[in-house]
Parts: sequence; structure tokens; C-alpha cells
Amino acid sequence: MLRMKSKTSILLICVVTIGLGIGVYVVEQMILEREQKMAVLNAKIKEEKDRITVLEADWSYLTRPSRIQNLSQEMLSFAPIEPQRILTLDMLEDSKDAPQNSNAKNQDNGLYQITVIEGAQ
Amino acid sequence: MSIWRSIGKKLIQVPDQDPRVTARNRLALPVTIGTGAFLMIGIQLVSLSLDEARLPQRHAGVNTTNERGKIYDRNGQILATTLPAYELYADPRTIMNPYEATVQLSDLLPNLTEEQIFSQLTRNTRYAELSWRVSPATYAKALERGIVGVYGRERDTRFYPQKHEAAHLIGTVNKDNQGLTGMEKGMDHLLAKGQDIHLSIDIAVQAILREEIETQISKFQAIGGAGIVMDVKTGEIIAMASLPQYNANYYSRADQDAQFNRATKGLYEMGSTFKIMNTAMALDSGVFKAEDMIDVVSPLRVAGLPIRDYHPEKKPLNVAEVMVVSSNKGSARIADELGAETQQKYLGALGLLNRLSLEIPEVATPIIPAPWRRISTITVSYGHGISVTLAHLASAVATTIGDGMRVYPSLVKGGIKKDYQEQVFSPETVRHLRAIMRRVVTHERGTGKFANIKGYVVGGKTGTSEKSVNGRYDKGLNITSFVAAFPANDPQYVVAVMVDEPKGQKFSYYYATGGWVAAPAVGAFIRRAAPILNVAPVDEDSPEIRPFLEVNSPQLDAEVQNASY
Repeated sequence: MLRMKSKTSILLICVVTIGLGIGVYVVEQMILEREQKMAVLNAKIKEEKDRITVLEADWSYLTRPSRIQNLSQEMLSFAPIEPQRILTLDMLEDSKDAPQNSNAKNQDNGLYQITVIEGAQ
Repeated sequence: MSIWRSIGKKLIQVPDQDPRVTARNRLALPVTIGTGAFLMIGIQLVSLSLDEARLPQRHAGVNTTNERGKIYDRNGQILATTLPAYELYADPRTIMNPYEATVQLSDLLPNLTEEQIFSQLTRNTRYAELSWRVSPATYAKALERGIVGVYGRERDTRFYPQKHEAAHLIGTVNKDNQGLTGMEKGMDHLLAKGQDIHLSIDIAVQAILREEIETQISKFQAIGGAGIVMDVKTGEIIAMASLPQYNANYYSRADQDAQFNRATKGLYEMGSTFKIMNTAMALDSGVFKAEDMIDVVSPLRVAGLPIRDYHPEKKPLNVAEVMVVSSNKGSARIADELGAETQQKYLGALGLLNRLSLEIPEVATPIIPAPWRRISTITVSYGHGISVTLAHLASAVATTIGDGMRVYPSLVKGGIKKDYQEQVFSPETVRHLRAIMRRVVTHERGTGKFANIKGYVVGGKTGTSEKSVNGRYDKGLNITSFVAAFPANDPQYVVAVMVDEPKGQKFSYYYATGGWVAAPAVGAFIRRAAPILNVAPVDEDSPEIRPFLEVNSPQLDAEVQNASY
């Protein structure tokens, strides 16, 4: 009886040991596989980041002020804005009534002219 | 031990002992093996879990390639970045045919002649450098040609996309990507750790400033120039140009004159722009009032040196008028009355006697008179006998015309934060100076009329000084300068421009003065850059502006009126 008991316990211990060994092996393999995947992904990330850096540098190079200025002058004949042509919002607020009045006047004049022309005909 | 004893017992045929003892002995073997196996599993488990803990670090290392930080301008434009590049080298011992290899390499290495390539390929060494920096595209071509004995190695390189623009202040690195000059050196401790930095510079404003100074340099055949735009409120330097300049990507190829930063390292006698500070200390000390009359008519001679005016006056002028017409004699009389002690106290408080505090290493310490005699006090009042940098001048004027608090210049976005403020001038003094500087630009007899841009309420002061060559002043070589603040009623920005050795031209009636050379550059700059700097044009005669810029100048006004009749 005692003998049987010790034999089964030995067997049990052996099975458990082997089982655990296989388990650990499988886990290790899975980790290795994932590490490899991660390394590939990281390499891709680095590659993409490098490409972004290059593109950003390219963008900065192509939009440098002296180049943009030359291009806008040669291709679009742009020039700096004269101070007289800049109005701030408060300036618009102040003169809100004035331009409307002058517009109205112009329209009146226009109508008046039209009527005169009609009368002449 | 019991195992061996039991084996031994069996071998020597000892009589049977108690079977329970035998069983216990036999059991010892599997127990030992079992324990060992579990121990192994345990160790494996622990090491695996340790591995797991190490993983994040390992991968973080892959993600952040230990790259040098980038340098941006205040709006996020890249000024300096690190790009992948390749070092190209040869192992001459494995080169099969150096003639063929030379031909194959010659178009890939435009900086080397065929003779140079050939001599590198035939050197008696195992490493012959062909280029320490070629682009990935060039490297790929070299690989495609399959030249035996030519190798490449990946190596990061610093790239400056703005080329010449702001090259002096961005700086440069050595072949090992360590800071050498400019902000690359000044901020090396952060950049080397991979930290990005944002400068106070606006690269668009920088380009405008550089171009306008360049225009004046070529018009007046000058040898160089410099300019600074500073935010009066924060001390941030918005633009800083030094001409001639160089391409930042090829620092080592530039000559020394181009590498020299005239804005922060160049010491110059600034001339009459110092009268801004002289007038401010006269009013602030309480010794003078703006209306006090100064004798600018009778001759003045100090220590055998006659003090003369460019344009001799016929009538006495008041303190404000002395600055408007830029009278040396008047400034001298004011400084003489103030005394050396008061003058030094104020100059010190303005930072004009000490090394410039700035984030770049290329800064200079002013050359000040030693000993400080009476004649020194007098010449310093109109900017002679004391040499400072343009950055010194810009900061001092920002202090004088801002709100009287000491302004510390900075090249980093946000400026230098101080938890205390040093009051140098009272608000009343500041108000007077703003008005007088405005008058210099608007008055018939003012010297800075070319900087008057309608709508932006420019105030300023011209400066012209003779360069000293071997200790003697040379009449033909001038340093011309102009310092402006706009809008003068509530200054946002200070613009300082200096042009080195301009020659008088026919169109300038052979004048090469601050008013002719530097003031137009400042005017043109303000006209173009004000919209970018978010300063809106205003009506200069409006009741919100005009009363703040009144100057009591009866003598000058009378003179102008008489002249017009």
C-alpha cells in the first residue's frame, strides 16, 4: 500500500514536471515570436519616423521665406501690402455708417442718371 | 548520503534491514530529482519574468533613436534637424582597379577632383575617407555600381533647411554632431539629450530684415552690417541678422569674416544713438528738464579736444531739441553737468558696461574707458570712446523706451522670466523719450526722416561714427546706425540696424550717415514686417496718439518757419 502510494506520487510529480516544462517552452517560444514581430514593427516605425523627418526637412527647405518670396514675385507678381490698404476691425466699426451712406448716394446718383437718360430719350 | 549507503550495503550483501528504512532510502532518489526539476522550472520562471520586465526598456531604446533635438523658430518652422546620411570610404588594399574606381566615383563626389579621389584610393591605409556626408540617394548609386573596396557607413548629419538665413544664431555642429557655435552650442545640453528647442526668431521677419540691410549694403558698397528686432515687452529677439552671412550647411567653407557675428560679437562705437540714453539719464536724474536751455553755440574744448557739431547751431536749444538735431556739443554739456558717476550708474543699470547675457557663446564684453576721465564722460554721451554690440544697444533702447524696466535679450521663445524687475527709468522719462524719438523722425530738421513710414508711428535715432584704425579715427570709414521703436506711442518692437563702412554715393550727395544708410533699411523693414508682427497701421494725428508725442521745441519750430518764408 505504502509502495503503491509512493509510486503514484512519483509518477504524478514526473507528469507535472514534464507538463510544466512543455508549458514554459511554449510560452518562451511565443514570447520569442512576439519579440520578433515587435522588432519588425519597431524597425518600420523608425523607418517611417525617418521618412517623416526627411519630409519635414524638405518642407522647411521648400517653404523657406527667401524662396517663397522669389516665387511669389516671379510667378504671381506679388508685392508687400501698403499700410494704407490695411484696416483693422475697429476701423470698420467706426466707419460702418459712412460707407453705407456713400453707397446709397452712389445708387441715388445712378438712378438719377438713368432717369435723366430716359427723359432725354 | 543514505542513497550511497544503501547502494554500498547491497554491494557488500549486508543482511536485510527494516524494509521501511529501505523504502525511505529508495524514495530519496526521485525526491532529489523532482526537487531539482522544480528548482529549474522556478529559475526559468523567474528569469522569464525578469526578461518581461526588461522588454519595455529594450523597445523604448529602439523607438527613440538617440537623436539630437531639433531647433524650431517661434512658429514651428524647422531651423535645424538631423537626417540620415552616409559616410563613404575606401579600403585601398581591396581596390582592384583604382583608375576605373575613380571614374565611377567622380560624378558622385562633386567636391573632389579626380586627382584627389585617385590619391585617396591609392593611399597606403585600410581607411581612406571619400566623403563624411553623402545623401542616401548618392550612397545607393555607389552601391549600385558595385565598386569593390568602397564602403559606406550610416551616420546622422545635421541639416539646416534655411541655408543662409539666421545661420549665425542657429550655429553649427562638428562632425560628431556636438554643438560648435550659436544656439547649437548654447543649448547643447538640451539638444544632445534629444530635446527640441523653440527660438524667439520669426524666420519670415528675419528674411525681411536681412534683405533690407543687404539692399543698403549693396547701395552704399559697405563691407557688412547687422540688424536686430526685439520685442520690447519680453526682450525676445524676433530677428537677428549679421552680414555677410554663410550657408549653415557648409560652415567650414565660409571665410572668417562671414562666420563672424556682427550683431553680438562685433564691438562698435555706436555714435549718436547713445544720445537716447544720455537724454534719458539727464531727465531721469532730475538734473535737467526737457525745456532747459543748453548752450550749443559757444565753442567747447575739453582736454585739448574741440567738441564740434556736424551742423553748427546759431541759437541755444533745449534738452529735447539737442537730441532732435543730434548736437554733440549739447550732449557733451549735458553729460558734463551730470558727471561721470551718474553716467556710469545709468549705463551700468542698462547693461552697457557688462558682457552681454545671451544664450549663444558669441557675445562680447564692451570696451569702456579706463580710466574714466572727464573727456570720457563727454565723448560717451554721444557714443564715442565706448564700444558695445548692436544687441547691447537694442536692449538698452528697449529698456529706455519700453516701460523703463530693464529688458534682458533672449533668443528663446518666451524670453527670460525674472521674478523681479529693475526699474531704470521713470514712466515720465520714458514718455519724454518716446516723444523726442518720434520727433527725430518727423521734424523738418530731424535726422531720421527716411524711417518715417506713415501709419506705424515710427520713432528713432540715427548714429554715425568714425571707425578707429590703429587708434586713430578715419574720416572715410564710418559705422552708421539707426535705432527705431514702433509704434512710438506704445512701443512693441525695437529695430536696430548697423551698416559697416558705407561709401557716400551720388544719390546721397556723397553722404554716408546713419540717416542716409541705416534709417531707410529700418523704414523699409517696418513697412514690410509690421503686418507680420501684428502691428496695425493707425491714424497718427488721432487724439489717442498725438498728445502723447508732443515735444516742446520752440527754437527749432521757429527756425523751420523762418526757413520756409
